[in-house]
Amino acid sequence: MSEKLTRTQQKNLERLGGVNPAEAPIPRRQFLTQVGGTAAVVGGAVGAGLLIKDNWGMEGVKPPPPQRLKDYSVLDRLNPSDPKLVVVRSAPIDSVGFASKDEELLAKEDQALRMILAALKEMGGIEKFITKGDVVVVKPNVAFDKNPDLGATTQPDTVSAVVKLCLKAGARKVIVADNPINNPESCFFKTKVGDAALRAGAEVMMPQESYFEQLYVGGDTIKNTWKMFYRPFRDATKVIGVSPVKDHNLCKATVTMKNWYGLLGNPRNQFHQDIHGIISDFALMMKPTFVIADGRRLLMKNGPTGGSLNDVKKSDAIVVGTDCTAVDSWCVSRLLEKPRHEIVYLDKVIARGWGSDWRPQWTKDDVWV
Amino acid sequence: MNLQDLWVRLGELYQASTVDRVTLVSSGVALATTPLAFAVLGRMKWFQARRGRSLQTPAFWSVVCSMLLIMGVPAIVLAILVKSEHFDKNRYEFDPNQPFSVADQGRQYEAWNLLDATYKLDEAVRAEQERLAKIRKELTDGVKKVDDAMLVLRESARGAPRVIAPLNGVLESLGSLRKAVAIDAPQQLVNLTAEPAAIASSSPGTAASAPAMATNVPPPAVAAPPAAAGLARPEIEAILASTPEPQKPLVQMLPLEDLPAGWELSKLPVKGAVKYVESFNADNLFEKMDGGAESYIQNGVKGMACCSYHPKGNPDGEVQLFVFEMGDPLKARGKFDAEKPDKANPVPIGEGAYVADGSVFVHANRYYTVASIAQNDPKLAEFSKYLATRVAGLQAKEKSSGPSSEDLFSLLPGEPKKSGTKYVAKDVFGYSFLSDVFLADYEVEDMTFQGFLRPYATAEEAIKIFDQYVETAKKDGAEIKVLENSKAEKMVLSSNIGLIDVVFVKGNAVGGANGASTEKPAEEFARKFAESLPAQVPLIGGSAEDRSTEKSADAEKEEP
Repeated sequence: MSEKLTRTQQKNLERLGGVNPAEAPIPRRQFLTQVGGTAAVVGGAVGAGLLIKDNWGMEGVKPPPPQRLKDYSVLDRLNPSDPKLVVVRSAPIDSVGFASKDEELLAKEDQALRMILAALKEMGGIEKFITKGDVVVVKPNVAFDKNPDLGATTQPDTVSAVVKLCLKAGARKVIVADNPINNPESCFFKTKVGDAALRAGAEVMMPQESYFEQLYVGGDTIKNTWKMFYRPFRDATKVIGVSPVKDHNLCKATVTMKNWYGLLGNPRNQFHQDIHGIISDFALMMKPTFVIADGRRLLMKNGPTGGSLNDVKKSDAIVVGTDCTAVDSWCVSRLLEKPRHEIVYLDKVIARGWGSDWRPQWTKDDVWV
Repeated sequence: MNLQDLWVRLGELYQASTVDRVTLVSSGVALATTPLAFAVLGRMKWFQARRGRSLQTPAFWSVVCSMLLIMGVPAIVLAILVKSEHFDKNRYEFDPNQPFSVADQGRQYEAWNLLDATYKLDEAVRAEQERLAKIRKELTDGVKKVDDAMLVLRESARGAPRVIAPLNGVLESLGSLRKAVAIDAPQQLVNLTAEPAAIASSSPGTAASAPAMATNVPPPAVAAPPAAAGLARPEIEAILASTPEPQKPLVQMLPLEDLPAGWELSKLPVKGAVKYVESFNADNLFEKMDGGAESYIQNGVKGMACCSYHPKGNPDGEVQLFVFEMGDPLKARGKFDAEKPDKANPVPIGEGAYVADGSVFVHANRYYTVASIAQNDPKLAEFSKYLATRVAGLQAKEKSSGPSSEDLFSLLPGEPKKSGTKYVAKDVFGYSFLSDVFLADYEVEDMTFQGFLRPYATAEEAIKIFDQYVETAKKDGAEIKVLENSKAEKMVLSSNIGLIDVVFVKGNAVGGANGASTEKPAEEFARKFAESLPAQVPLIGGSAEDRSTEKSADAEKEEP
């Protein structure tokens, strides 16, 4: 930049033919030396800073950001004219006449497989839901160490049927996971779900302390985060809920939405005081690929644990749907024969716009196999 | 400090930490290179500044002063670095708040030494503890292995009476060793009082394998009874030892030994341990039953113990036994009635029991027992009944004082046709204020209704509840008609959507008929009921004072 000279200076310069030293070009050597030196100093300072940087400073002790569950639904791939809720019926299998328990389990599994396949066919085909390379999480209800005949837990044959269906559709891995609070090994063993899942080719994931993470829910009861059994969902691309249909002494009915309660870490019993609030939050927290309500064995009273075969009713339906709210609503009134208004959590979900009640126009309930 | 000391100090600093090293080197480099840089830059006319139309070199001393100022920066950093190594150690020397004296300095020096020695001592103690723990673990493992071997040896010795006496001595001497390593469950000694024939026959395999020892034994006179199944006493002792104190009586009620032949306890598939029994208290019952625990908590559950059984060779044929200790006998009855199906098959066990598809449900004293099966198998059903009977037998031994629930049910009129009786703990007839009510079903001319009775601690409390009932019924749109009756303080007839209730208060009790479809039979029933009721109805589950105190405590809890 040239410096403004006085008139006398300007005249002297013109007369003498001199050069304004301020306008003299910087010699190349000087320029390179100055720029190089500055760059070296700055680089050295940055290098030294990086060298002595404390990676385990405050940044290291900060808690990791809370996890959020992905949206596992595939509603955008479904044909709008296809039903979103399908009820498939099949005559109950009588235990008499089988040579062994394994043979009976295989027959029941085959029945479940055909029923679920028929339901998915009505909804657009299994390929719309499971694609090649998927990692699928199947969430059964394995809350108690009880025999599956008592109807308090998911039927093992339904779980194995779902696992086989997913693997056949090209899933890379199927993880069967639940979080029974007390003695998970015993629960998976006595409900026979663990054995059935392993035999079908799934990975059974039981809870361990390191498998839990803070999960953001942002609902009305869990406003921020809660410790959840997150590990199975870390790499999952699809999630399927498989639940029994049963009575519950607090929330009146346990079907597919209450099934997600099993993911909560302790002390989850504190939510029993606001059971409808917490269950309705699950509609926001979890967007499953689809859910299955196994209505072939219903626990009609004394739920959620049951304890007597007298409380159990054999039925003939498996309900498959993409919206937990609709499936639950249908099962409560049609299978458990309870007044719909008793199920407060469904009303809460609908009022908040997180789910919708079932409608005849997108329900198909006359499929028989 | 001479130059050599300074050099040593700087060497120590260099080795102290990475940060110190970097600071030291960079300060040193800065100090050393600044004069050189100034010399070079001066030669390159870097410092020349324009004065008017020409560039002029500044005075030499001004350049030197600038250089010293710049060198001051790394020098200060170096000083801070050196000082930081010593500041903490001697910080009290310069603390103006501390009295400063030679004696204090000495004390501080001693304290420092003492602290240092304490740290060293602590470390030594920790190392020694770890060494001892390792030895103890090895010792315990060794004793456990010896125990296992002795159990096999003891079983074998049953067929060889000559071995029994010396073996008992060995077991006795092992006892002191086991106690020393804190494995305090005693080894069961061989029963020397048993007949040799019975001993020999209890283990035919081992008797045959030791013919030389058995030659002196006389032949068996009678066949020995079959060996009872179940756990050994030491195993039960071990289970009890690991059970929290409040649940021990519940675990003791579980049939763990002397089971019928062909049955055994189911092991829980738990990692790293063999477990037969689980027990819970009211706070952690949810771990076992999740939401199901709430209904027990509402009935004042104090604890629960459970275990499972199966026929030998058939693990699927499981019978699960749950023993719940409820708040009082009334609460046990309440839970029993709440779960009772409409068509229950009553059985004479405890104070009340029924069978539903082979599962047995019993209430006795303050206990509620469930023996549950999951297969329709008569053998399992028979065993569940056996378990319930055995447990209820133990529960009945605990006698509770005061009136029983049956005493109160007997106060409900016998006519018209009276069928099932029921105790309801909460929300009776949908009223949150009405709890702990005794009910019975009545049938008259194709019409059914329920007679009910609820005693309170005081007459004032009964009248308060009665008034609350009338007020709520009015709010619900019921038509209330006051009935004149000399046998009760107050009596009303409430009619709403075709259902008739006749409710009265007499003394400390509220009673009446609920859910009738015509007025006359309900009114007649209520009048007769009021007439037959004594002026003071007894309370169950503690004295009147206790109940009042409990209520007020509950009320306090509910207050925000």
